[in-house]
Amino acid sequence: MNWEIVADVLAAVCLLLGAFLTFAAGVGVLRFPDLLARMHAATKPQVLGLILMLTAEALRVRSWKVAGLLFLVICFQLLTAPVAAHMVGRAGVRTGQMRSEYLVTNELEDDQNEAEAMRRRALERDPQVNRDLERKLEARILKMRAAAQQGKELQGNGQQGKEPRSPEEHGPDEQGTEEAPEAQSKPESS
Amino acid sequence: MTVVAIVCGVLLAAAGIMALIRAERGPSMLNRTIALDVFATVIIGAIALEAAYSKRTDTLPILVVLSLVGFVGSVSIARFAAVEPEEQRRVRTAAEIAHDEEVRRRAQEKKEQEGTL
Repeated sequence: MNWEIVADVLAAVCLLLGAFLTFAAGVGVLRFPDLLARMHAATKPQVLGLILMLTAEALRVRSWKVAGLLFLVICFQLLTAPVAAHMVGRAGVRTGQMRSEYLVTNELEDDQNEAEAMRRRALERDPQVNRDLERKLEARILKMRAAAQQGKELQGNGQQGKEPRSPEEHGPDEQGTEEAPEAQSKPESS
Repeated sequence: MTVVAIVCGVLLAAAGIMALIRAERGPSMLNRTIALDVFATVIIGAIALEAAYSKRTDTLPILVVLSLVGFVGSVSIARFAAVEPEEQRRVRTAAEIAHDEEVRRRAQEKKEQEGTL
């Protein structure tokens, strides 16, 4: 039994493990219930799966040059995968795309509540903030009205029938969600 | 080795298909981002598998580039496109897209008319 056969067998095992991890990630991404759970499943092949498959390739090709490049690939992945996961997770929590009934404990909850309370207090104390907000709201309402007008003209021009997304019903929706990031970013800056 | 390659290929293909299903369904942009991240990982895995099977080294730069720039898409989506209205999260139907296009086109025409007057 020479060492090349051993290397091939090791490579095969690594390949199978890596492919299985990727498959598990596919199942998890498809079947898990919310964003954070899906992220958890998706990160398995991004690091361990990749390391296994690249080790298999290095074992098969058996050259130091290739091994060095593959090591570089692993380093890059180790650097970039956490960045992407961090950004996605942060955006997910901030836009409320998690189901708190699946969380054992939500350590951000206190901070979020405190930020909300701080924002309320600031609004009460400082009428200028209030006025700014009102002015912004007014501008938005004007914009919405213009959009609604446009929609009416369009319908008047002879496009009748079901309009699945007319600008009127589209407007207030946008307003509601645009408010969210403001509300969260304000207490941080103060 | 051939059997191993086939089994791995099937597993990777199944993972890719499931990730794409999630990308189509995904109730929000971030879910799609994650699904497409998994898909990118599947592609890296497939390239590595092929290289390991046929002992070739010319596909190595692809792996380097994919692992370097793969995160740019998800970071930019998470940074700039994470906040979206509830009803814009799904994929629009053809009729809705046509309607929105019509609205946009008419607004543009109106603006141009006003400009020439």
